[in-house]
Amino acid sequence: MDEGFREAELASTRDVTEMHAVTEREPVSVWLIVLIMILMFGGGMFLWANSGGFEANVYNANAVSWSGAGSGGAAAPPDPMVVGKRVFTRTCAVCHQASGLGVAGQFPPLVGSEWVLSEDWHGDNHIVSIVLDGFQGPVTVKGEAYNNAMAPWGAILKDSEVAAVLTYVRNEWGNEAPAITSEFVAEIRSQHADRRDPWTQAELQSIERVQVDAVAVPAAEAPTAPETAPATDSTPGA
Amino acid sequence: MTTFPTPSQEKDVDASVRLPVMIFFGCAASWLALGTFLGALAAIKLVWPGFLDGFGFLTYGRIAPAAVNALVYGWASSAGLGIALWLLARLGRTPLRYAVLPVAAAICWNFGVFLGVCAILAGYSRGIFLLEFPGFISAILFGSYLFVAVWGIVLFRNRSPGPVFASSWYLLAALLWFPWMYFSANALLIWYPVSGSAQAPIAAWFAGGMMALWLTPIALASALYLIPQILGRRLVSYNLSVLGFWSFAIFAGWSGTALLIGGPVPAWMASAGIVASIFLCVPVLVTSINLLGTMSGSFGALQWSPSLRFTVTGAFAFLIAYVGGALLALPSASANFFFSDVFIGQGLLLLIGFVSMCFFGAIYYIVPRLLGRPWCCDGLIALHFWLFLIGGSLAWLCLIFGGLLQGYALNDPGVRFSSSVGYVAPFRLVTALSLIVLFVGSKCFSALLFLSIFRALEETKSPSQAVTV
Amino acid sequence: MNRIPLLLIGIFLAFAAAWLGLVAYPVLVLGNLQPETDADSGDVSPPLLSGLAVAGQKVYAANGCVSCHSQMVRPAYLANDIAREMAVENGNEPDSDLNLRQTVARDYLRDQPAFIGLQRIGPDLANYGLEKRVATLSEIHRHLYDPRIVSPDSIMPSYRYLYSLREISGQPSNEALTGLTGPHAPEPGYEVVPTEDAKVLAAYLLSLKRNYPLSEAPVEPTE
Repeated sequence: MDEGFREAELASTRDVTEMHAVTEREPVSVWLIVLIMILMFGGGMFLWANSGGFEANVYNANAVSWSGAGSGGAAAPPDPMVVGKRVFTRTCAVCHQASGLGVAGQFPPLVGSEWVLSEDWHGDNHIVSIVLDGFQGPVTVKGEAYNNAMAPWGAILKDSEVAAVLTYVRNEWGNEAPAITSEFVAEIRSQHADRRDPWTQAELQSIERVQVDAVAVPAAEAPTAPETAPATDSTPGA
Repeated sequence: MTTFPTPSQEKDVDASVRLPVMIFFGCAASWLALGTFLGALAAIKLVWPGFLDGFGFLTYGRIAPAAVNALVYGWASSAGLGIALWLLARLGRTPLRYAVLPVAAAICWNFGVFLGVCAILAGYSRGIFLLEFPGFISAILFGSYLFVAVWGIVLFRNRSPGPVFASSWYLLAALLWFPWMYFSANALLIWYPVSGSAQAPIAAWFAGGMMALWLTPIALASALYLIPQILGRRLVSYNLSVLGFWSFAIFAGWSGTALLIGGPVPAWMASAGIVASIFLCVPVLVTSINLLGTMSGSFGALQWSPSLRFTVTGAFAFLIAYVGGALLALPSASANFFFSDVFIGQGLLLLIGFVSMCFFGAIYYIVPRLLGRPWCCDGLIALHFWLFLIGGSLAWLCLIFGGLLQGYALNDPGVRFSSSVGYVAPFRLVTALSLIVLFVGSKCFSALLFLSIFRALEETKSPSQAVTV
Repeated sequence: MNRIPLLLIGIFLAFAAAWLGLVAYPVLVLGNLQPETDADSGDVSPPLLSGLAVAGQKVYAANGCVSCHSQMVRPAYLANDIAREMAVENGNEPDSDLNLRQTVARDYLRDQPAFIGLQRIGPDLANYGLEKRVATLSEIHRHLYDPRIVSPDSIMPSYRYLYSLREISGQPSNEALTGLTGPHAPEPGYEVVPTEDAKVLAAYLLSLKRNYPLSEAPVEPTE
């Protein structure tokens, strides 16, 4: 290295800016473009598959499967129990508690509640209406009297999310009741599209009970084969 | 019509930035020596925990962060600021006015780093990576930075008419990103700390950003300038550098959270970090084509130009480090190797292999022009280069291979934890020796720099000797 | 690229996007996380830290413990952090039910700062307080004073400077460290007592238990 090591360094050459001042036609390698596109595609697919739905409280990207377990086939619908739990934690657990037991004297329990399980005079349409439009005033649940207000969620939750959270509530903590379908929620939503006020117990009791047709709830653990949710047969009362 | 500079114009420009740039370089060289010394000491303590044991200020947990902070804020940031000032003046063909303010800021910055390193050793560390300095010291650093950066931006604004070269884009971006990044991180983690649950992503973003958004753009600006300037040749694919710059700007900021996969950040944040790390391969490939492609056929020039030799080594390290970073960001790799020595190796490759080598290249180019005299001892330059190349690559290889063993051992619950320490012990021993080699190399560098400064000072005192260029 | 306003706007937007996602979003969303209260027992998760443990965080930061010890547990599908914590070498029964799970943002709610860490030169400490092997005050002090007494091939530095050696005057202190052997054991007639820093650090280490329930981090079934 030694001879000329220093003098050559100090010799002035053409200025860099001057050399790059003119735009020249430079061949762009097709392979580079292809490589970039493959990278972008792969990265996008990875992000889509591992985003956990871009939820703030999903820490484990594997917990929510968006792409379905099957290979090649049509994507399985998201498990309503998983989606429902997520919606419940975010929306309902503040009052009704993660345990579904509510708070004595303030927020009624969901576990074993006749409202949730559509027993007695209560119908599936009533519980859907409460979630969509809210509830206020005195209410009796499992023989206990409560008097509080529940916010309407119809403007915030999609039909599928209402269906999922109700399906979750009706099949968690030992509860057992048929799943609520998105179509059923849509049906009830359209029936009371004009409603602005929360429901009261008396009002609901005056509406005839309508049941969603029995649909087996896919088990939370086992990935299920793709199945299309059957449309509800239920027609508005009368 | 654009006019291009004459040598005499260039001399005026150089003279105007001489004092602040030389102060930055001088301090930087001293910090490099201190940082590698503390790093070597820390590495020795990992092998012999009883070595200089039982003193608070010499405990591993204080020496290691002190070394990293001395290297990042003392060496790399000081040198980077000096290089940025010189490049902006040179590329803008405009002299620096009121140099006294950047001179004062340079002194304040280095005084702040000195206080900060002392504070870490004295036990006032804040315990967040690269934010260990106590709050008032980061305020000093931030204030002095603003003075330098404002002068850099003024240089850019007052540039002579004409096209803006790619190096200026990177410098402008780095000068604007750093204060925003440093202020946000200090405000949210040190001055008025947010809830602990929000700190992990901010800290990871900042630690990644210090490399990707601050030191990397300056090092790239210097390499993109030096290689065509020294060879007197146009970059092979200059038009692609637009793609390189923008893809880098968009993805670099997101890459920091990749390693927090499975950690205390929502899944999407870690995934975004992983994807950004992979996407960073695009600007890295494009820039490497420009840097190394321009070199092709001219590797003989490495014989006579030390600047080129350091810069090209840095460019290779850049390619390896960022492609390696993309591979290490993949979940299957980070699951095994995050928390292992592999990541120290990755940091060493970025900081020593890439950034420091590019900065050495720039300093070897700039200082003779500022002092008006060539480097004094070729032998010392060669020694410096080989010590850094050998010490750096040996340390890197040992950290990577030792870290691979350590990572597999850590992730295998059937292997006792102490075995993971035992497996890497021989690798850590060689790493410690390599860091001593790096320390000797940085002593060569600072000796060379100060020798040149003293000789230049002597010449100006005795006007009988004519200053020759 | 000679249109400077465009260049500046691009530089600004590129940075702002990542800043909004990785700084503003965490501050607004993760920064406002609240503790969870169990409806039945009234337990708060994560539990409140004692004053000693809060002071201990400062000593933990000052001495750079985070340089070697992470506090982050990854889920089982990704890494074997939980299995390692359950390992027999930590004194835990192989089939004991510690309810370990991955750590999430809310786990660091009371940490200032959050010591996530970047290195595992030493073991992860996220659940140090649960380890049967060490989780008593006297064991922790013995370990900090001279790590080689507790595990002979440890490379942890000795934190002797957090303890004071003094002559026993009258009755030995009930805080004095017991079971010290090796080169740094006190001579007869002398005793080693923890300074305030050592006491708060030990209290902090004992408080490291992240097995309370959190709704967003279910306990994974162990094999």
